[in-house]
Amino acid sequence: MRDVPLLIIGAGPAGLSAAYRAAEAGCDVLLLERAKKIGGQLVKQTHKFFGSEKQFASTRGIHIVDILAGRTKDLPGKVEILTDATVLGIYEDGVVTADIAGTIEKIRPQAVIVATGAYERTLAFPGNDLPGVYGAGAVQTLMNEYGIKPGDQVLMVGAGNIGLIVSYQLMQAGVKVKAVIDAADRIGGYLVHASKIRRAGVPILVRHTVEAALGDSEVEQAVIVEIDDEWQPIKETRQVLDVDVICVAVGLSPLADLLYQAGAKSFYISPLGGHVPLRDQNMMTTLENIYIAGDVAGIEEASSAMVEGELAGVAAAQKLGYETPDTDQLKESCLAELRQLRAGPTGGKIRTGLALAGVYS
Amino acid sequence: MNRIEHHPILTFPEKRTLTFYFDGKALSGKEGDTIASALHAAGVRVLGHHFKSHRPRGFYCAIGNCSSCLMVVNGVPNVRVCVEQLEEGMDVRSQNDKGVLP
Amino acid sequence: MSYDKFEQTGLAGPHEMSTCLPSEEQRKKGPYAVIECFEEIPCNPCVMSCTFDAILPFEDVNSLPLVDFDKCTGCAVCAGICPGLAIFIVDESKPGDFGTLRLPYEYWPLPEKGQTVMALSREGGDVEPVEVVAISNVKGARTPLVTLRLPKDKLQDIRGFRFLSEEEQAALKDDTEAEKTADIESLESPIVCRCEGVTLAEIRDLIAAGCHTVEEIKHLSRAGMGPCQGRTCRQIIMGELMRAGIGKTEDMPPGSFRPPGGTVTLGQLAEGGDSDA
Ligand SMILES: Cc1cc2nc3c(=O)[nH]c(=O)nc-3n(C[C@H](O)[C@H](O)[C@H](O)COP(=O)(O)OP(=O)(O)OC[C@H]3O[C@@H](n4cnc5c(N)ncnc54)[C@H](O)[C@@H]3O)c2cc1C
Ligand code: SF4
Ligand code: SF4
Ligand code: FES
Repeated sequence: MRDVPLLIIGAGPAGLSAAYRAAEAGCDVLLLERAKKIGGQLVKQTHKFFGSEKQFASTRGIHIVDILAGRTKDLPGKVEILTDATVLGIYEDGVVTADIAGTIEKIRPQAVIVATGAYERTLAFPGNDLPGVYGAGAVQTLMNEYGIKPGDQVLMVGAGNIGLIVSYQLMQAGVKVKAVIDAADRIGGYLVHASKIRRAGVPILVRHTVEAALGDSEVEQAVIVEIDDEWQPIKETRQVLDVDVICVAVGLSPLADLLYQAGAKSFYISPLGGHVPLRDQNMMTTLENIYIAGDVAGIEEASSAMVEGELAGVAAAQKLGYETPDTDQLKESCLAELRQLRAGPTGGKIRTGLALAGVYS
Repeated sequence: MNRIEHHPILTFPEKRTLTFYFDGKALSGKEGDTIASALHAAGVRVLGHHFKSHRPRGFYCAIGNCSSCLMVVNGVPNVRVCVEQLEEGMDVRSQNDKGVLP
Repeated sequence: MSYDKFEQTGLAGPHEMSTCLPSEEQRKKGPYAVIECFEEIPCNPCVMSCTFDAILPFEDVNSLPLVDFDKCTGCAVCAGICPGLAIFIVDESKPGDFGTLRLPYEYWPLPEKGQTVMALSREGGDVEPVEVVAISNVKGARTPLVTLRLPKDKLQDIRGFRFLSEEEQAALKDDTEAEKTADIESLESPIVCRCEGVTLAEIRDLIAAGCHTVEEIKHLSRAGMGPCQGRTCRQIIMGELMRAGIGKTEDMPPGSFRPPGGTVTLGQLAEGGDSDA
């Protein structure tokens, strides 16, 4: 049994930022990451990030990881980071079990911050299980982590930020993107991304869906079709594209299994991506001393994930008695930053979602 | 070849070649690959068949979430090959059933 | 059904473009930034990066970037930083029918200077073959910028380029066959600044990349920073600036001068001269 003051689960932007702030206040931290590398989604993001300079705007995601990890060193509290360490459960007595490099270990933390990120949603269409129908995350992993082209000709399903960015990354890797389609009647992602891939000659078709993936043992073709106001296919508009990959980028949902399991109260809040655990202003869930931060608390951006992480880190440390004269001010400035990031029209969805969740009311 | 040779932002340093076996056939991958990435780079996308529908299966999430990529590795069934590191001489086989304990 | 609104196509149309271009007068002044960012998103590196305060201050991180063209120098710092790759630098200030467009480019490989490429519209459609006149690739997080030489009437329509296929290249070559003369191009570029070993090609690159004064060229190339203080190179540089259509030699500031006006040894300096005081 390991005894630690603060356990953080997940070393994405949220978890790393939480570790930094908690250790800065003097609290020792154990940070567990399931993957072999830290960074979460960031390790696959070769593009420059949006946001403001405080959240490293204009720095490529892959480089933000190093900055975040660097900040966790030489602080009053010690941050121990273990990779290949999957947390398996959080139990009522506060004990946490984890598979650390193949060995199951028990941990008894005084507080936990869950920063496990999200999982990818998928779509149901005939042939969706054929090899060659891949999640956007898989395409990114293959391409940007292992340096392998997922295929030669890709249909991208989803024109949100992920679909647009992954299309761009595919082209950077030398793969042809045949089209980007989206069932909604407008492009969901940032229009600057959309313009960028249009310049490369890739059509974006709104109000289109994928009807089927065709092929004997692998994807050889995709059938796409325009849909009407009732979301019914308009048969005459059916097109068959020769592609070997259909990349599904239809959104993310919070990966909050550990919290449901532990009994945290959660609600299905569609604008936040699915079931999200409720939390207070300090990011604490309905379970005493269990906090959340980042995409697990509602699908948003790395920028807000970092700020939420910082807020949870400061708050959890404070609750455990690690405080500095700046603590309250720091919390205030995190809240102000979050408000700023969510202020614009693109933050509307998040604001609605959070209002439904009772935050900010 | 399915490997990216040039990239405007990333560099992929040359890595040691590893030999492994897919359904008995010798293939090569690179150090640092997972079994799934090595197979994909070698042009293998069908990893097995579903035990019930018998439909071909490949990977889907590539991060160990979805269990679409189960194979028999060194005799052990139900290995998620998208997160299993490739090793020299590995014996990787298609899995077409629920898997039987070795 | 056609879905042709900006938020459905991602293609900026006349309506969007009417909000981001300078006046006739301002266009004649020098290069300027065209910021094609028409949606409020939480992003502000452009405004933070402009040292000339040429982008109007943001109310919050979601504000739209608007350029004050009286202040914008076309320095392109913002274009290399913008994560949306939404900023283009247009220069139509020089006389003649051609101007330049600098655009952000993040694909492999980068083109080469002098290479002919196919200019593309906002939709990625072929427009016409054009010449790459400069490439700036600042190492680090910045996006490389490629400068194309374009007819002035196409400066607002071209927003990308692609490489020519071998057949297309061959076809172009046939056209230029007649022009082939002695292979002067393959000779090394003449030296302009002997002290610092700066070539004519380097000077021309800098001018194409937007340097419009002797002073700027001096700082970036070191031409004129050697012991002779620009005695050999200044005139040539001014001549090149004029050739590029940037004003008359008479009107050009010659750049700054620092003592000593001739060569002295450190020993001489250390000994000190006679004091007047
Ligand atoms: C294609 C794409 C482009 C994007 N572009 C941008 C952008 O330009 N700007 C921006 O701000 N945001 C962007 N984002 C969003 C951003 O990446 C995410 O919002 C952000 O990474 C969320 O951070 P997080 O720390 O909450 O989760 P993640 O980054 O997902 O990290 C969660 C970590 O937890 C680990 N984990 C999960 N479960 C366990 C467990 N049981 N035990 C141990 N560890 C576990 C995971 O392995 C992972 O490393 C993009 C996302 C995608 C997919
Ligand atoms: S080109 Fe230079 S001066 Fe003009 S807006 Fe951009 S950074 Fe500012
Ligand atoms: S940096 Fe680029 S994307 Fe961001 S606000 Fe400025 S112009 Fe728009
Ligand atoms: S592909 Fe999803 S677990 Fe391997």
